[in-house]
Amino acid sequence: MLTIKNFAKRYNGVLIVSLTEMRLLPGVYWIKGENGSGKTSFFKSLAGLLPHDGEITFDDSINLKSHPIEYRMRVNYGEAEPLYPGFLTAKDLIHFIGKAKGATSEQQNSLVKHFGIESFYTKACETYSSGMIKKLSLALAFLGNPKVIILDEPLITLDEQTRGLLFQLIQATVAKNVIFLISSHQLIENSTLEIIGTYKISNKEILAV
Amino acid sequence: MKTITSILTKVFVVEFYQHNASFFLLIGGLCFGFMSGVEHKALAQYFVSSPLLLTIPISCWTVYTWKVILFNRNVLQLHQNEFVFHLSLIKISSRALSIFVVIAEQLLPILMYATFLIIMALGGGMYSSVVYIVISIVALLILSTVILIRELNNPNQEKRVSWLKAYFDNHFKKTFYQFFVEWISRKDLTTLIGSKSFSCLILYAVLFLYKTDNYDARLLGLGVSIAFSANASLAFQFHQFENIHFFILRNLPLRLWKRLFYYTATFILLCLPEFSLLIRNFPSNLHFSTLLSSILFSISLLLIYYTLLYRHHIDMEKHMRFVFFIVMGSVIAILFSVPMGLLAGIYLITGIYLFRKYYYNFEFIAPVHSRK
Repeated sequence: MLTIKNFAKRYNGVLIVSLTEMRLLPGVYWIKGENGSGKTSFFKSLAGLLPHDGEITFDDSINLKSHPIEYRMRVNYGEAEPLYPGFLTAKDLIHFIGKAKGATSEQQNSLVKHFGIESFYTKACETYSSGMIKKLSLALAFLGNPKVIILDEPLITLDEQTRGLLFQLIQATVAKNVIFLISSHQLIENSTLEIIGTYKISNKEILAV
Repeated sequence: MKTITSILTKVFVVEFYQHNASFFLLIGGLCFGFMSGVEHKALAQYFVSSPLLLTIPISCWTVYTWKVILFNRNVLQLHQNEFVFHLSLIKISSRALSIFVVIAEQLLPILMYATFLIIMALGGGMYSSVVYIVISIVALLILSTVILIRELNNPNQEKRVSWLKAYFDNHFKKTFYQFFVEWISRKDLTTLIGSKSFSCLILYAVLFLYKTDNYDARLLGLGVSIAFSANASLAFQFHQFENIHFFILRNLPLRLWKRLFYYTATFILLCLPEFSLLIRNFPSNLHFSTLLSSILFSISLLLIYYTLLYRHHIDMEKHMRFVFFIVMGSVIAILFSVPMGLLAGIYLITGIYLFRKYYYNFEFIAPVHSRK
């Protein structure tokens, strides 16, 4: 279980988003909110990419602030609009991030195959379409043995076939007791995903729906 | 036409001078800080005295023009500037004239110096030099105008990868310390070449020009402080690279020691030309330990310049102020015979302290146009 308590993200002292308490169990959670409501700031804070107030702790006391390495080993993040240095290839990024996250070569190869990255695996990112970049970022988000996978707008620029593959992989990963936090403007209720909780950001506060 | 020129000036010219403010500050400081008016005139007369010597300023102008061309190319790749491509719908004569004006504004520093050289040449009756200067300036203006027109006519060109890069990408794995070196070589080659040329020139000067029987280690220390501080802009770019183009790095479970090791390895790779110059030409009368402490000192300088950037979000100008104070402090300490090893120790400890304290709490404020 992941517990988030007294969370607040501010930019230059201005409150962007806050949360009193949230307890997350393995399964898929849908985080809703209008553009600019603070979803990405919340996700980036959770992924350890942005400083914030509050405590984020796993049930075995692994905490983002006091155990930064162990926490980052457990939390993966897939950006809404991923950006990678243009000269790097999918191979470079998967090897480097995979190594840091403790992913085996078998897992790396399986993700490459699953998302259909083989055809551009050794090509530089600067030659990719936005869909190809998205596929790469999704593959990177599954590397290692994460307990939490945060996917910010995972469906944008994805073709229908890859959406199906993504939902399939999410369900298989949930079975391994992984928490998914997903934001999407597209409707995911009608997908094959079983959503166990929905939250909405309203008036700078994250509330259960 | 006036409106078009005004918009293009905002997009290309204002951005260019803002982006290169530190570069112009450095050039201004070097030109007007050290040389008097009489020396400037003497240098100009020396340049115009023969066509061979004129190649020195013309080469500098060519490098500057190349910098302008690369800058304009980068501007056109930014998402928010896509509207500029609509310019191709306007009549070619108006378009060309507007672009020519914009290029002339960007090349203004070299146009001014060329005018100064022309006046000197006319004063000395060197009419052939006047012709060479005019031809080279016109050629540079036309070349950069044609290139910009061509790029505006061909938006969103397909990115091509050379067969050599494709071969390396296919057969080799890249390590983290190669990432930034390749990025800077592709994105800002002028900064890289400029920093390397300046630092190697300073090292060459302290290692060769003042070689005496009794070489003073303090001279080497002064040279190392200034030469490696010239790489501070690369440390700044490295920080930008990590926080804009490789933001996900912060999510990786890497120990702070490992991160510091990666940064050190990157700096060593970047400073290989300086290190080879230093090792190959190290003064024979100095002890081997001085060589080791000078290498350690140079790495510690780059690490402190880098880790300082995690304290607060600062721009290049503010960063250069910190660099200036550290260089001045180092120079004074070295003049008072403080050993380089001790300075290296102080900078390394401070750098590690700053990094440990601020890395996870640092928040980078990305410029609006940075993501592309």
